[in-house]
Amino acid sequence: MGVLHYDFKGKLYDEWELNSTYISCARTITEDDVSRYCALSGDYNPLYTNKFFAEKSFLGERVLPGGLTFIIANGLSCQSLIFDGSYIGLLDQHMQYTHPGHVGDTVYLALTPTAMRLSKKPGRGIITYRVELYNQDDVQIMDGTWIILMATDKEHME
Amino acid sequence: MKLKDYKFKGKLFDEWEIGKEYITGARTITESDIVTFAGLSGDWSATHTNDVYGRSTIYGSRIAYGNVTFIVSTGLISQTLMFEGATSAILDFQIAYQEPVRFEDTIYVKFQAIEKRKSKSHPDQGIIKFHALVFNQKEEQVAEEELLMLVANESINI
Repeated sequence: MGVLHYDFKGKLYDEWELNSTYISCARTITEDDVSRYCALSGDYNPLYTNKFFAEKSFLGERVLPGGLTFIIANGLSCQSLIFDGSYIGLLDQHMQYTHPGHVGDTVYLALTPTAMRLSKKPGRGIITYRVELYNQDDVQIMDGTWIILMATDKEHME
Repeated sequence: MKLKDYKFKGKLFDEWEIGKEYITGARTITESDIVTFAGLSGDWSATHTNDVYGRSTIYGSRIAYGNVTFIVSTGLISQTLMFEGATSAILDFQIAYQEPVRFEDTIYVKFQAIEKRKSKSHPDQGIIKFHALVFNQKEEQVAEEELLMLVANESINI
């Protein structure tokens, strides 16, 4: 057994079932996640980095960067291994913010394939997912659509 | 001069002109950004973190995450200070990916306001739709974005 022999766990194009919902594990978003997000993106908007400003702003308190909840949603989808070695690439992502997120929220992802078609190029299919992120109170905080290029055959490294 | 004397530099709702294009500074995407992103998001997919696998994919090498392009583009936009202390929330976004971003690519953003309307329920707020294009150093378009933002029409002093 060597590096080339890992068996990827992701679901291939044909293994996805339309309108069947998969839910991910959950993750608590911490203050540290916010700092690291700002450090990586370079976006230090006072809505998430200045408490005094945020308290006077429209939402009345410091909120999570929208980009942070978005990338955590992506991470949760990967950690469930459903895309492990089966997704080829992201084509399009659309997200609507339906409720503000805060430090301390525990979020999980619900993913539902809503459309599938084979690509003209062999070995690939295109799946559209409805993607919803919920918090610990089962309040939806994001609702969106991802279009992903998926492999029809098991990827291998050789 | 005190904390409260700082004047935020973002453009208020009325100050945005439809169709006027702005350009951001540029940023080189490094391998460090990719590893930092993997750790923060929890997305350790092989396409981005396993060099042996990356070489076997249609890209021929590891590539940057689509989401790194997204969050770096929002960081570059934020660094223009045109949104500082004026945006109240992000409401919705869409990103379509046209080309992979590779390690050491340098990306920048061109953006403009394309639609605006006053909020009916909150007269001191307005909704602006921005269109953004992300380019690399070869002037290839790597992503196209639409961002819907809630923008204040009165400046906030802490």
